[in-house]
Amino acid sequence: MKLFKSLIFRELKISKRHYVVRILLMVSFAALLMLAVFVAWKEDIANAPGSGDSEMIETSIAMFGMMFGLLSAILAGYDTDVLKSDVNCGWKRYSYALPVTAKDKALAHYSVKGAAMLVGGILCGIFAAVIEAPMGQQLVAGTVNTYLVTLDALLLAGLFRELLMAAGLTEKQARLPGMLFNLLLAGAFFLWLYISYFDKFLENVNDMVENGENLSMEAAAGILDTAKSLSFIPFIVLILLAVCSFFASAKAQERREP
Amino acid sequence: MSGYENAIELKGVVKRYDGFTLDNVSFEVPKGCIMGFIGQNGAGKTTTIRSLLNITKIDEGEIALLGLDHVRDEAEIKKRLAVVFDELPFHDFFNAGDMAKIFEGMYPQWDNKLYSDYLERFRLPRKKKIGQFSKGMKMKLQIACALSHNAELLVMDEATTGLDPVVRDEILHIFMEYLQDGERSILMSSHITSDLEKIADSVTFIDGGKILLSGYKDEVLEKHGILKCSKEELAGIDSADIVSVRTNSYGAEVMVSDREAAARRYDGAIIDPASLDDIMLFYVHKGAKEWW
Repeated sequence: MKLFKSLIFRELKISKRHYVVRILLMVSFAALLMLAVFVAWKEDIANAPGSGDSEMIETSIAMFGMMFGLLSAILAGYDTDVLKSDVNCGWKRYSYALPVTAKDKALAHYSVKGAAMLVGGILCGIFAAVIEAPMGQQLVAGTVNTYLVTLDALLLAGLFRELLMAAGLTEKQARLPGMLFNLLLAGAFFLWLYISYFDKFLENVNDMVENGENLSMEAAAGILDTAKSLSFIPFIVLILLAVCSFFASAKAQERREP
Repeated sequence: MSGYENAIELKGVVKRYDGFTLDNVSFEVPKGCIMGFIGQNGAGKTTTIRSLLNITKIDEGEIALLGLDHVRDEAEIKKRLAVVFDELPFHDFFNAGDMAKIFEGMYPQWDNKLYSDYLERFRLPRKKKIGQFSKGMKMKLQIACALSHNAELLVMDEATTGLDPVVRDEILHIFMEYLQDGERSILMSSHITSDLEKIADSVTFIDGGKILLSGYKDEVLEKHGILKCSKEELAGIDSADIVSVRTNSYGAEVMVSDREAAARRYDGAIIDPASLDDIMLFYVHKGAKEWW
């Protein structure tokens, strides 16, 4: 336990600055979005419920939720520079002479990362709930779902990189395959995003333009239903990816210098 | 726990790289001794140290630290071992107090009071960021961390390089104190032979990945000498007595590996004592036989 506390202390001391900046960014972005919702639009919805304008606003709020989920996940899940700075200052080499195993190091790293992802998820939920309550619009499920799926993509990218390092590639050698994999992942992710959010939206916008009608409530609800129904799958995938990443990281850290 | 004779044992260690090979390196560091590990830049000192710390895997050979296998018993060894590198491997934004918090969880025998005493003795501020320390302060901090968990074996790789003589003397004095109980050992690699002449009990010379010479320092210094003669007189010296010869416009300097025997054989010859520096120089040029 003492060893774990020391390693967590070290990990937090190095990455604290990164996470504080990221949380501030998330809170600022949330505040901006809430400003748009409560100051600019709340009156419009209150004055004309069920009208075309209010439905367009509600769909936009759903998009805000998606954007916030995406950004929060990137801020919470993107790797800090701890491992890189350990190599640069010589700590990584020095740590081979310390009574610390690769699993200890990986556990400390992923514990801090896990805590950051949890904080990000809670902030996401709070943001969505704060808007959901007064607006009467379901937002939490979609926002959290987007957050989880984005985290899954980031963890998968990280896991691929750790597997390359565990297989014996150097940082330089892992760069190109890592980039190609990330591009593939980004493509798959945006495809999911498009299918979940934009496909139906664009279809209904076209309908609206052709028929001179407003975007229907059912269409907006349909978008959110799709997102809500997948909530448990990304969460389970997240747990699995986190566990695999831990073992891959431990294996990568076991490797000695040439 | 303390039932071993040699703190370090290397037998036939081989490590191959492109363009360099650590070739059949064998030596021992008896318990309670300071061994000076001497060689010029690129001789293989750091590779040897990285091999025995299992920072890099060896291709052949055996290594035992504190009587234990350096790979199989790595976890146990590392609790009783301390390392000091030539560059401080701590992040710049930590301070000395942070390092205590990090190490006290890692080492079961970490002694906070001892660490504080060393900080005070070295005049190191506890709260100042390490990035603002001078080179000498950084080295002292690394040494304070190394000496504060009752390590049985201290391995130092060029730890005094780049330090001024005052700081070096202070550090060497502390190492002598550290060894007083006879249960601790030090392996110290350096090319500053004057430091090792002051404190080492035994020395090992390495060059080009090969061990040139290993033995007790006093014996090595006693046995070797520099015979001064003219170039004509050089022809009369048996090549078996010669390590290598340095020639200049005045004559020749011949390193002999047995000063006493050479004094008897070459009556009237001037044979000066050799320093570790001289020994290293002449042995490094052994292949050339004659050099200048």
